[in-house]
Amino acid sequence: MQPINILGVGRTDYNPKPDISIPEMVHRAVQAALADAGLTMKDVDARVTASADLWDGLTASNVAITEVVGAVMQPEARVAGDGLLAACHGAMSILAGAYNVVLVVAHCKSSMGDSDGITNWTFDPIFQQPLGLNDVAASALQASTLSLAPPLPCPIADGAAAIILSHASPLPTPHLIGMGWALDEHYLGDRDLTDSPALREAARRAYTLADIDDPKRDITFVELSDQFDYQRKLWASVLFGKTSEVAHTAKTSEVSARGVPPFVAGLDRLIEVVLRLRKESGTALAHGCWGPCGQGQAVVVVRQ
Amino acid sequence: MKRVAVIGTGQTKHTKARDDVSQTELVREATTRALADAGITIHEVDAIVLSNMELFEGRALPEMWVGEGAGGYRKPVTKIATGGTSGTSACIAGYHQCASGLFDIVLVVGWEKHSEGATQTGMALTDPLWDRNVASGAVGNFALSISQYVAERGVTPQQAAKIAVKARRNAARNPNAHLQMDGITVEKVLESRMLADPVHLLDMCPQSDGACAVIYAAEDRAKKLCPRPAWVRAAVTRHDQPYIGDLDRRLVTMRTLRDAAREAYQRVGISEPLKEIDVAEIYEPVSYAELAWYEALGFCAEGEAGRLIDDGVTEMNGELPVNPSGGVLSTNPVGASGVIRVAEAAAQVMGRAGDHQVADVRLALATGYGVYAWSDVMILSAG
Repeated sequence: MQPINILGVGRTDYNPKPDISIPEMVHRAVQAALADAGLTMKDVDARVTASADLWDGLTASNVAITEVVGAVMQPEARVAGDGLLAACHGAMSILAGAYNVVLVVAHCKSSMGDSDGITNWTFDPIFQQPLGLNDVAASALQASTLSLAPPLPCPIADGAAAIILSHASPLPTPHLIGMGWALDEHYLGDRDLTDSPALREAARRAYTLADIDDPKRDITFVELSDQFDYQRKLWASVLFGKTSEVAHTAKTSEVSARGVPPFVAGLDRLIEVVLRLRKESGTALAHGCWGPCGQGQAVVVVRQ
Repeated sequence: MKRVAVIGTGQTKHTKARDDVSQTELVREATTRALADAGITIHEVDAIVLSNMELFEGRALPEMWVGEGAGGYRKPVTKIATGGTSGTSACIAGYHQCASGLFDIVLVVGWEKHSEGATQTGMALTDPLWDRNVASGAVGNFALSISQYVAERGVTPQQAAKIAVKARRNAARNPNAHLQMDGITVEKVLESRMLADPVHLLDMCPQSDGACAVIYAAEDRAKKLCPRPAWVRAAVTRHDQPYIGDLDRRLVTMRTLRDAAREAYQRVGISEPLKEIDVAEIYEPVSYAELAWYEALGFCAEGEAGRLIDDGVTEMNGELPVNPSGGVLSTNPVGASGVIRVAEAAAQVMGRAGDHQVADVRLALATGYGVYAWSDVMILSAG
């Protein structure tokens, strides 16, 4: 695929923010990304936003941020999923020739909602939801299949992240060279929870586009969406194989996605990758996941 | 940009309540029909884009559960949700994904099962500080804007009722349409219960259960798979202010639709839309809106929309048939409604619209409408 430049990145901190609204929170991340890219909103052709209605308590939750992402009388698509998936879609709209510069934004203000209640509504209403499953309970089940300790619930986190993509750049920038995403089976009883075929498929697609034959050799470092402790080991083993698990866990950053809000984490991982690639050359992988036990998986490969 | 065309469409029968199927099964019905229409199997689909407004059914990330109904297992699945425009936005997203060169065949499926939720409750979840108290739900805020439109343009309740009658008469020729009201008349529309002046019950769209799927293919595959593909010529989105109070003269100007149409026409080279476009499937949640959209889409001059319906210009046998399917006024599973517009426009180009086929369609227009005034415009053609 034609490389897509990442011109700018911006994010808030992820502490609970009872004193500001969702649009104010998103505004800070967007303005930081624009400043980082040296652009103004007038330079942006289109936006892809990522958010989840039930978390925001709003129908079409991107309505709340229309102004701060500059979408008034402008194109916007909203992905109901992780921000890394939104980045993939933004890159595709550039590859399609529809736009030159795309702003990608993800947000979640989890302090406003009841995480256990909301994630219970993520399960199908016929078989799994009545069991009282939620993200923590499902993750405990997954951890037990790996003989690992039950995970601690994610800390309450509020925040937003933004990046700016473009097909062209006046300066050398980290560029997106591969991407892939996939959905796994929904019913936990039908899944091998010690594995993640969706992550493997997402990575395969990303590696193919990036012309990576041997990820163990070619990937310099990795940023994983490990909202629960046990996930770092699982995702690393799926990406690089169990035998080299230790070595490639070492390649993952010390910076955990734990404490980054849902739907923001994948884009936050991409921002980590970009910031590091500005200081050192290499090929890096950013990972995002969403849904019960990482049912949705996305992988982006970035090179400097 | 790769050339991309619609090569197949599929819909469920839309109705008030599909108690016999789950959301997943509803999506599977539309998907299976679209695959059959395109003459391919799910294994040939490279990527999937879904559309649904999850708070209408009170779900969180419903694609987790429903995705497999579209064949999404281990495939790239993206869910798009932008209110009423969800379906057309998903169609535009699917088009972009196919045109990117990353995928040869992309399936788009929209669905809504209003009978499993409380739509008005979902629609009431607007901005909690301002709009939730004054402008929640479709009827009330439309009535506000319609009153302003009527005052400035002078359209009459009779002209709006003619739009409502046209939609339901067209729906009688569409076996998938929800409302089947053969004997509907202007008088019956005007005698129906007043919801919010000047909007009568039969001026409004229904709430439907249903799903609709569209399959795109990149040029090489499209030419091999489909004798008469519906080529995507333009896809344009415009969003607008998030607060109803900031949208002065919303229906009068409908600036998002006006601007999106202007750009789409420019891309295709359309200068006289009424003469050049052969059929239009436009997202009209209320009868008066269709009149306002005629002006915004450039089908007539400002203030001339009433004359267009009086003269039968947009009837099935008119110069530019609008909504031969019966439109949103006859069928409205919100997450699917925009996909239905694109599917119906494509079916008209492909010559597969059945009893509501318009003769010799070469250029078709589809629009989406959502939130307070967001618009999508797509143009499809035979060549």
